[in-house]
Amino acid sequence: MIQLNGKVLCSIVLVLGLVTLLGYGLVSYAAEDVVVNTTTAGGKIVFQDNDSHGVYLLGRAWADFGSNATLSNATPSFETGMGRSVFLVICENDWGNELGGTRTAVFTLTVWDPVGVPHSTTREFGGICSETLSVDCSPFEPGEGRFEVTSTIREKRLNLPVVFDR
Amino acid sequence: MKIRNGSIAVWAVLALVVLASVGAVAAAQTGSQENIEVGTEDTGDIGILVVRELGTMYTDGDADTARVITNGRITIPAGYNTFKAKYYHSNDEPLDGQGAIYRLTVYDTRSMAHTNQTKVDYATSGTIEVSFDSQGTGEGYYELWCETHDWFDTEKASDIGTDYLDYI
Repeated sequence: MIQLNGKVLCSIVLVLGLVTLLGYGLVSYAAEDVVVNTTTAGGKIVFQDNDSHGVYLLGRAWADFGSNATLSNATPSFETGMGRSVFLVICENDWGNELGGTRTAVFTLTVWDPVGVPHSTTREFGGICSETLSVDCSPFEPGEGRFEVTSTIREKRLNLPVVFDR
Repeated sequence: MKIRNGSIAVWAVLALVVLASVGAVAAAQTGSQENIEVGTEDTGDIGILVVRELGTMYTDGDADTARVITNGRITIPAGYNTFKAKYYHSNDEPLDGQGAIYRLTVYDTRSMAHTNQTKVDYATSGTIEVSFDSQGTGEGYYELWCETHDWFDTEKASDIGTDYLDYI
């Protein structure tokens, strides 16, 4: 009798584990990362042939989970020298996820030096935030570079029909 | 007898070598210490020139609000300065999961950031400060940041205030 109970218990545990595994696999397979909205702004940075440098606020990026809107705003042109410069972008998300929401706000700042080498930083937030993206750059030669500020809202959605249609 | 004499001679030579090396090391050490002292005398003793307030940060635990007010573009003498920001956190009982974080970041003329941060978990007010050498004259930048959070550090509100500053 005790031995039988043990066997039953064992099989129950096994079946439960299998179901959990299957469910987890299904959910992770059906979940897709969707870009809800994205906005990019940019400008140019002229690296002059002198040793000047500085800290520059290039622009701002917003994301709003309430209206799913994104906004990137940048000053079109900057001038600096060959010294170590720091480029900043303020990013903000004033509206958090509702309960069970799976949206993330992704902010990226990329600075290309005159040679075309990118210097990039990305930050992701699942809720309300005000943060600063920072990239520092010391170019090897003078010339014209550029920058881009991107603000994106991504969402993880469960798309079960995709699984069953296949 | 001869062997004994020999061993005594060996011991004497060894002792001499050890003594000489100890002396050399000691001399080298006092020499380097003197150098270090000269160095610190050259660079030190500048003293704090100016204490400047950059702005005020307000957070409210119940209303879930965060607000930064900066003092605008600031001019300050080049050299060793102290930068301050006041903070006020209201409507927060101790041990209720609520809290606030305040951060002050100031860049010197070489584009290096100097930062200080503090976290509070009950209604209080205070000052956060950072001190450094401006590394010459030129343009700098400062940033005040604050946030208020709930359980598990879930951010409820945050704000950033920034402006440029001139070291003259």
